[in-house]
Amino acid sequence: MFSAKKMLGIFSVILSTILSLFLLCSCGGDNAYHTINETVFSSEMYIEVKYLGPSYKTAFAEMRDALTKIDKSINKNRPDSIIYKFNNSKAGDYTQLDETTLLLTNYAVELYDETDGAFDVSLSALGRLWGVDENSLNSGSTPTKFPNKAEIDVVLSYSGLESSADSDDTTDRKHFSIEQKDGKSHLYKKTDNFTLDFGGIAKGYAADELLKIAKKYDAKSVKIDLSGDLVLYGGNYKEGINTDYALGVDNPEEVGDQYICGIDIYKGSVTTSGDYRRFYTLSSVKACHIINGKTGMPYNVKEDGGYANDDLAVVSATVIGNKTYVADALSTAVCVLGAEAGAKLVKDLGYKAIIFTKDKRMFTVGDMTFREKQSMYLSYERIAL
Amino acid sequence: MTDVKRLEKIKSGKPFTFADIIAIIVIILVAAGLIVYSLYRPQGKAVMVSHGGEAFYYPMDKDDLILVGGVEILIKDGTVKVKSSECSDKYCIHQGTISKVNEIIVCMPQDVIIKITGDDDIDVSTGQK
Repeated sequence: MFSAKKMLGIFSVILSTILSLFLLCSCGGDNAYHTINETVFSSEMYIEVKYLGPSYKTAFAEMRDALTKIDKSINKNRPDSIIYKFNNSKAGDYTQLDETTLLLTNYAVELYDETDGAFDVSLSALGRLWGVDENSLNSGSTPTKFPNKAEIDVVLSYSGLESSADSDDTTDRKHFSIEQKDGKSHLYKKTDNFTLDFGGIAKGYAADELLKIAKKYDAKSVKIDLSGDLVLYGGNYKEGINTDYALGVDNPEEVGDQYICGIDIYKGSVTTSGDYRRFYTLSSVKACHIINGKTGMPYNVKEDGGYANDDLAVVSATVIGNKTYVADALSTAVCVLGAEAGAKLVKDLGYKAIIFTKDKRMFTVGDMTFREKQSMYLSYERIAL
Repeated sequence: MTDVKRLEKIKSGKPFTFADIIAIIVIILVAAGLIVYSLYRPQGKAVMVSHGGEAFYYPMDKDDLILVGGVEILIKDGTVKVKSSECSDKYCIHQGTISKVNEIIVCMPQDVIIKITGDDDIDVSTGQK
């Protein structure tokens, strides 16, 4: 059909076209991120992983297995989970723990003590009483009245991780203890209706486990977003250049795609808590999902004859540091403790924080470079610790 | 193909070889792609105004009138233009309205550069979930 010369000409044109197209979208090779984007924990959370490095398929498979294992241990809505068993047991019952639940129980107790009770994993029942638990908030129907003091006191009587009055053993608490039975660790329940919900730290713990897996497979750069818990490792590869991530902090006053501030960050775990996404408003009082275990009320609500909102309350607390589960617990604790005490605690533990309050104060802990572009934070009174 | 042969080809009324035609089609396709890209380039979210080595950013979803270095910049309905300028040539005013990412208006005499940017250059974000 065509002469050999013609064929050669056609071939070279096609080849050079393909080559130039490859050059045009030179988006590949060693600097391409591989990604996971799916729901996890029985579809209750989402995960996004961006992974740069070798063996990504093996690493991803191992990450999925790790998440399934954690879900099986601590998902309170899963009838076959250990926590479900414990929550449905009676005073005097023993529930056998696996490695994950034992570790998380110890973490939870440690963090309760370190935050002076501001981070407490036993407040689910209070959340339900106020209608600020996940199910009630998702149902879309707002409660018609707030609970009264007597109702709160009843639930408080079987809530809280406080230690046992007559023991120095940190694993001996008022409502439960960790006991050895037949050579295995068990949770021993002392009070009926007492329940645990590891939601708060399990997410952070899972994110830390995923990072361990990535490091094991020599990942160069990893970004993990587990339902809002962010883990950054190895910096950001942008067009082949290894650089900082530009981290934007959501604006608590105008929820949307606006950032109140932006900082540069190379690596670390980042979590944010606040009162601006999970709440309902009843007779102009806003009740948010984080409960103060001391008062039994949402942290942004105060008792003043009736209920009112606390004008000094934290609206957004971002904590940055090495361990995701600690950052997660601290961002919650800062909300409960208040900005000033919370910032001091974060500083004592060697973490960083950016905290905004309703009365327009901004507390910062640790050194950080604020980006010029996201400048809304400038209207807050800055207090640096 | 020698020049003589090509000349003969042109004279015979068939100036292009098959390979030439493929090359032309490819060039047209790439050009069309670039035009389509520029038409569907995303709308900007912020406008950067730089003057004297400093850059200021303004959101484009809020109407605003900004005076920088003797140049009056109007942000209206997600578009940006120079309303007035102290410069003599008024070239910046004649450049008209911009709204898409990376579009730019420059006023050399007043040292003012106006550039549309995307979503604030943020790589990752954190917020209450």
